[in-house]
Amino acid sequence: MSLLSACATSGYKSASGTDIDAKVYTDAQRRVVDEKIPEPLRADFTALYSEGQQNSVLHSMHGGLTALRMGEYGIAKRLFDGAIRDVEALQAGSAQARRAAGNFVGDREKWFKGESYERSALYFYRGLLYLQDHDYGNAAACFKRSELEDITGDDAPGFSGDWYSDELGLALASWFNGYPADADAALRRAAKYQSIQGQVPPPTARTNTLLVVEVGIGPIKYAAGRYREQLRFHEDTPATVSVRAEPPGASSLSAAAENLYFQATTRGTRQVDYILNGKANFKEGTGVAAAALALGAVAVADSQRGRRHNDTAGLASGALALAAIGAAITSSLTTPEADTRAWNNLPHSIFLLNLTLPASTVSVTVSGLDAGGRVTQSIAVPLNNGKPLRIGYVYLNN
Amino acid sequence: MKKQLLFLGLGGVLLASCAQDDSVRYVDPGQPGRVAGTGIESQDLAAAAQKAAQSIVNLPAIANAVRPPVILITPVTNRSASPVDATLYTTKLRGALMQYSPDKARFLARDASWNTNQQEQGLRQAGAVADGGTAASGRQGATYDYILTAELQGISTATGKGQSDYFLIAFKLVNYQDLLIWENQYEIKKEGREAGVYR
Repeated sequence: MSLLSACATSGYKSASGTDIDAKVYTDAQRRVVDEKIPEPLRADFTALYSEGQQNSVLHSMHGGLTALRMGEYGIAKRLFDGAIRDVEALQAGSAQARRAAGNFVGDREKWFKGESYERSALYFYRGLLYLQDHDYGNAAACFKRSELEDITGDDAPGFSGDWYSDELGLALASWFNGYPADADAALRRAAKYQSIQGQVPPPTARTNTLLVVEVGIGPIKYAAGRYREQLRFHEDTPATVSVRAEPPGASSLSAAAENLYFQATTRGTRQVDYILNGKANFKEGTGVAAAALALGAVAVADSQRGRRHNDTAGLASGALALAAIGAAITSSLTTPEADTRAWNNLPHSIFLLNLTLPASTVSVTVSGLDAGGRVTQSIAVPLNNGKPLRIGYVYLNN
Repeated sequence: MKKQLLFLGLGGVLLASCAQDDSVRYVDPGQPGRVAGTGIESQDLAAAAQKAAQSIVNLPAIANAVRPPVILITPVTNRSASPVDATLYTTKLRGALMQYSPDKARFLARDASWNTNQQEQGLRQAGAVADGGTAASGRQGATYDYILTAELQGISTATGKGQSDYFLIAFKLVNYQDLLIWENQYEIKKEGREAGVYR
């Protein structure tokens, strides 16, 4: 018994629901302190260091966005780059992926790489950080790759690669990189997307300030269906439907450039949905078989009640009972539950305000507006001195 | 006694299973990695830089020059859908060229020295540091005879069935009069498919 408990658990569970070894967890906590990770990021880094590859992308995505909002851009880049490396590596986690496709291993045990909208968001945010560094080539590459990650099933053909915000980012990067034709092409593509949320003033060759306004809570994953085999999303709709920036001498009003709930729910049927559906059918089939075998065993036993020394019938009844137990165990071990691990600090909507401001402007007031035009929140956003493009970030919780 | 040994052995296995896998191995950066994707990777970079370097040093303008020409390597222009480390690319290309042409060409390394040299010049002029050593008292940076540019372009596609990336790396050697002296292109195409549980 003492040996079986040799792997003392920390009391913490990974995002996949597995126990984390106490020593591994303590070492991770120590490493976070040694590396002087800022307090608000310590939970992400502890999870990152203690849960291994299974959830490294998940915690890197979450921590990266937290770091970006804190202004810890170096940490944000490091985390996003790590997540991109793991998402891009096609063979990474292939053994775990094969296991997860089996009937007896849960989908949440595969190495997390996110759903399409999460992978697109990963590249989108990395693109913003490249823009901020005035590395317009890599910024454009990230916005293009973000569109490529937005794949859909055959039943949702009009929704692949339709991130409006990516095209705006690409246009901006292309202006600054000296490729106006690419900027025009990006804006022309964007104008045709079904993901458009309303009027969004596009960037121009004169844009020198980008405000990134995140609003609300992103898509909330949950599992539905008889065996929780279906991935579904809940929308927590924020009050803010438009955003206004009021720099001195100018103002700009914009609808959201991206609605992540829309992106999450226009994915269509995934390949993994067929796998999970197959598992659910298997679970149901083995469950039905177990019930039928159990009934058979009872029927045989009943038919022999009152008779003496009928070994054949007794054996048949026993065999049926054993088969029923086996089928029931098989059914109970089958795990068709959908993976609901989620990048859960993504916003509901992303607004991109492209402004042309005098170099002397040090801050901009950003106000969220509800459907009736009433102000929901108002925040002053400081601007850095970056030339030729300044970027400000703000998060509105509603 | 045998039972005790078996018991201890089992304990060892259980304890070992708690330890993290810290194994590290050296791999050839010029070979495809085990965790490859369809984007640009180190071996692609190394191969293209190597081929470009070999080709450039055999150019008559370089190989037959009376005085080793000075080349400025500009950062790679990325127009693909794959983010790349432009600095790493430039460093790799310069390293490959140095390897193949230590006496046939010289290279400006403003990325490595410009800021420091300018700062030092300011200190010298202010009298904060003394002239000395083998360095001249006044600083006049060198100019170049040729610019070596690299542009990465690409066509990428992705569907639920798989993804494909085609890259074209175009190198150009341009002289001070904007004349194109040499151009060479390298193509890379990769296809891949993620496991079904990710699609």
